Amino acid sequence: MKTNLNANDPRLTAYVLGELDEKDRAAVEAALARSAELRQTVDEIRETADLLTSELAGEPIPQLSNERREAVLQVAGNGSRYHAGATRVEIASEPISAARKDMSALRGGHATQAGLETASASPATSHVAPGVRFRRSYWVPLALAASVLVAIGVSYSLRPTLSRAREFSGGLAKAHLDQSGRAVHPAISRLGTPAPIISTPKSAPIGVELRKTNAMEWSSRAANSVSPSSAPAQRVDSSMLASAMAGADQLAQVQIDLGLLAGVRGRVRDYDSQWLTMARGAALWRDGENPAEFGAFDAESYDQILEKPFVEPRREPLSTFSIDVDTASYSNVRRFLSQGVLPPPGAVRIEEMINYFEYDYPEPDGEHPFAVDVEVAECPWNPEHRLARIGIQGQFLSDDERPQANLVFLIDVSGSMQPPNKLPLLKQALEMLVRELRPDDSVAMVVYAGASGLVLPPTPCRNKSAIFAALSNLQAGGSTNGGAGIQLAYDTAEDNLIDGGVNRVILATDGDFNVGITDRSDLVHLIEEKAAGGVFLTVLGFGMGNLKDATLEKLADKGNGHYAYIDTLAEAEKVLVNELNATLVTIAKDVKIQVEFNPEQVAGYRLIGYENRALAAQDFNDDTKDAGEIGAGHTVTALYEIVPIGAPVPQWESVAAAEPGKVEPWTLRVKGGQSKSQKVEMGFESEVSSVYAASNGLKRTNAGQRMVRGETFEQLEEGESDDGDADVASGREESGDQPALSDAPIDPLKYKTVDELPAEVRQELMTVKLRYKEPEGTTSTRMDVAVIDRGLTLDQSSDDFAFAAAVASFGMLLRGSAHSGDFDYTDVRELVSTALGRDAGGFRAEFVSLVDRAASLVSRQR
Amino acid sequence: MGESEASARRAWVRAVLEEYEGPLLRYAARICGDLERARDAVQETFLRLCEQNENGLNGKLPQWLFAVCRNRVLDVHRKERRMLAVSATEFDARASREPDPSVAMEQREGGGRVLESLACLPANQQEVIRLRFQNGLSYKDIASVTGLSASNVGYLIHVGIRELRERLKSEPWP
Repeated sequence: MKTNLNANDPRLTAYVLGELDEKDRAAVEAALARSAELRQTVDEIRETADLLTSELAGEPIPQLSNERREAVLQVAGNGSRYHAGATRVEIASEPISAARKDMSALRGGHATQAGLETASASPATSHVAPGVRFRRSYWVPLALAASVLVAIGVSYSLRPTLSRAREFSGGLAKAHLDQSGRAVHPAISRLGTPAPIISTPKSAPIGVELRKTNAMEWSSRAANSVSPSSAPAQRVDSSMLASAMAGADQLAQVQIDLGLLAGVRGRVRDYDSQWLTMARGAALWRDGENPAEFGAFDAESYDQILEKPFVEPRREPLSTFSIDVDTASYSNVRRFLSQGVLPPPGAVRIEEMINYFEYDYPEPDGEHPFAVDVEVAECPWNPEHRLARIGIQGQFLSDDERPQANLVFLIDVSGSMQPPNKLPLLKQALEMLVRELRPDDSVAMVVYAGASGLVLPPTPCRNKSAIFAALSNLQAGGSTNGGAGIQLAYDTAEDNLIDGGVNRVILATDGDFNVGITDRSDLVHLIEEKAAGGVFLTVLGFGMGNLKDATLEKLADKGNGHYAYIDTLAEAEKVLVNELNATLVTIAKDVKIQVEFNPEQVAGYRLIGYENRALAAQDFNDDTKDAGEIGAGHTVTALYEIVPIGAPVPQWESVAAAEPGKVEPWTLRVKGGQSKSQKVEMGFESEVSSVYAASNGLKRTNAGQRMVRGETFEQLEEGESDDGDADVASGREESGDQPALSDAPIDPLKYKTVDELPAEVRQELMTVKLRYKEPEGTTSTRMDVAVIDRGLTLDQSSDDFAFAAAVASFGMLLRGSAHSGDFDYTDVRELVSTALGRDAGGFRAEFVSLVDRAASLVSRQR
Repeated sequence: MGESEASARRAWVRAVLEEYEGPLLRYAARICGDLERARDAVQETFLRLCEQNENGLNGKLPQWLFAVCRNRVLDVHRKERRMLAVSATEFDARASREPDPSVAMEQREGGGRVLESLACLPANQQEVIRLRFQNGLSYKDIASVTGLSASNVGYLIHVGIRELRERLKSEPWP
């Protein structure tokens, strides 16, 4: 059949999207067979479609308020809000009854209340003539009017009364802090101890009256709605209200200052714009609008992750990486899934998902601060392959063994921190942490927004109530200047430095650093410098919609600290209470792992995860190279997928673009055993990460690896193109400022002269070498572990092994890895169901529910 | 309505709410540009769902939800437009060809070049693209949601994707 198809024919797109009927599809296929140009067009359409799907899936998802959900469910239970039985409503023609018109007007009043995100026991229904637009600030009179109307019997069954609606707090508890049902203490007490939140320039009182009136009105509204909010399930809202109440005075104060500033604008020009921004934030909030919430749409950012191919030990026997104890990726992935979207591939860092969980590894015997345990068994997603699990267990510390702590909380109070899962959650999380501290520990608090300031000087934990009071007084508003705040926090920590103690800045933020790019690299330099001086950095990520995941991970990485993402109070408890010592006390720093594979036993290997932790081989013995830290009691797990001798090694080939001279680095295909193709996620480097790349040695890593190959081994064909592409696509080649390559010696290869080795060495699968420094040390200690594959099947492997493998395979599926073969979510489910172990805390059981969720999301997409 | 029937209905609505609340809100917020109004519309959509027969919606639940939600958003929009006396041309021009500067800045930071380009497309193309690629609706489903013909939907998506390809190609990869 001859058809006239050109590149502008919509059928090409419909073809890619599977929207054509048989006849048209045959026509398009015939045309494609004839024309290379059309084939290319179709490929490009497909590529754009895939990009759109993955990028759009990563867009943040807003939520209804609980009140609104309650209202809906209550109506669902009553059958109809009109008490009139179910009416069928067709899509095309929806009958609009008088009652429904009333309802839409009524809904406005309801929305007004929900917009405040506060709780009220009075039904917020109001009867307003259609077409009247009311401002949110008239909320109180409206609500009063509404109560009167309800009282005289103009009543609908739509009544978001909290008392009845409490039954609904499970399943949908997305924004709930008490997801796991743990006890939570609303921070209602400790009101009314105003602390100077930010140092503000003071001057003659101009415009004070007006501002004050606004603030008073606002605070009276808050007071009005706080009264009934003592229901136990209302934790989020009540704590938020509490902070709102506590902040009313401050808000008034801030606004007075704003009035001042407006009056003396010329003199305080430097502060002007910052304060005006802050004023806008405050005003919007007062009106029940949340500027950050909607403005934050699209704003989450993730680095793209390049999955590593299999490497042949005959060509490249050494694999070197820095350990990573971060866990943020798992909680973030959980957040996406519980909101009903698959996470963007860049948000899935497999090593962080694995390391989120606790494993029972043997404890250290005292010679080293940690123990290393290796288990090798059948690879679940490819039975021909072996999976080697390297498990590191840091020594435990009891609470009184922990050195005295000098903590400085650096808290982001910018406008974007207002939602309940940010600042209010943060306050409760830090409060939990403070409760765990000993009386001799000390806490200081620095906030940053448009300006930054010390809101709590170093205070001993003997006086915890002062710390709690300062916490509950925190208010969100203004834009972010993380740089100045960090400087102040570090200065405070250094002034109060405890020799041999835990000196740490704890940065709590959604990562919205609205400072210039140059400042950003300055920031990283500052963090590195301070870490060298003994003040480490822990980063707690909060919230959604604005989360700069990659930024935060890198900050913590540079600061010898770790990065956790706090999405619920349960998560806060895990990180800040159960794992407090691991969070605070570093037992070993710059921990690097180098694995040498024995080419007699191993045909190919690949490290699962740790993509952004790769080191050059010579970095292993270079004590000036920064690497990851282990906290007290931390476990760290790394997995290698190993192709044993005799099995084919899956190869990657880069696919050249149809356009001559232009390389498409992000399209790679697996040849050999598998035919599945994968789009390797990369190319969308942000400016931020380019800056980081310049300073964090990623470029050095790539270049370094190439050089190692060049010097020591024959050139890799596949690997070379892959690495080169990584540089080009990420823009790191141009980033300049390249750190010098390490000239530290590479260890002589153990398995190079394998013929001359004793039989038991020849049987070894690999040797795992670790280097670490004591927390205050400058020279590293080394330990070696030789590994022999005992040929365990999957059934014979430990629960911990199977569980870690299940998490890895889950991460690979979420990333669209080409390595997972036919393994699917059902297989993950099956694997994990036998590997729950003791599961203290129920974290593994929660993982199972995430797998189910991802499975149902994927099946829906198909 | 019996007790068991009521709880079955509530369970059904709750399940639908759980699954579609986020996607509908995201969609509605895109149309009206105001999260609070989007919440109004989505809540109203679910209230209408409560009057529906579960079996009657079998197999067409997503398109029903998106259609009702869309109508609710546009209702409010029309009403507001009347009240605010904003001219129709001005309203239509709001579907701007340039992204909001602050959004654009964020996106450059985040690297979402596709989304940045998407924001420059005409509103109707953006909408059908989102329904297709974000919410997985078929051409036919999108047609029933938007009131366009299926071939019109196909045309809009095709033109939109072509424009995105051009934009992505015109700027060299970093």
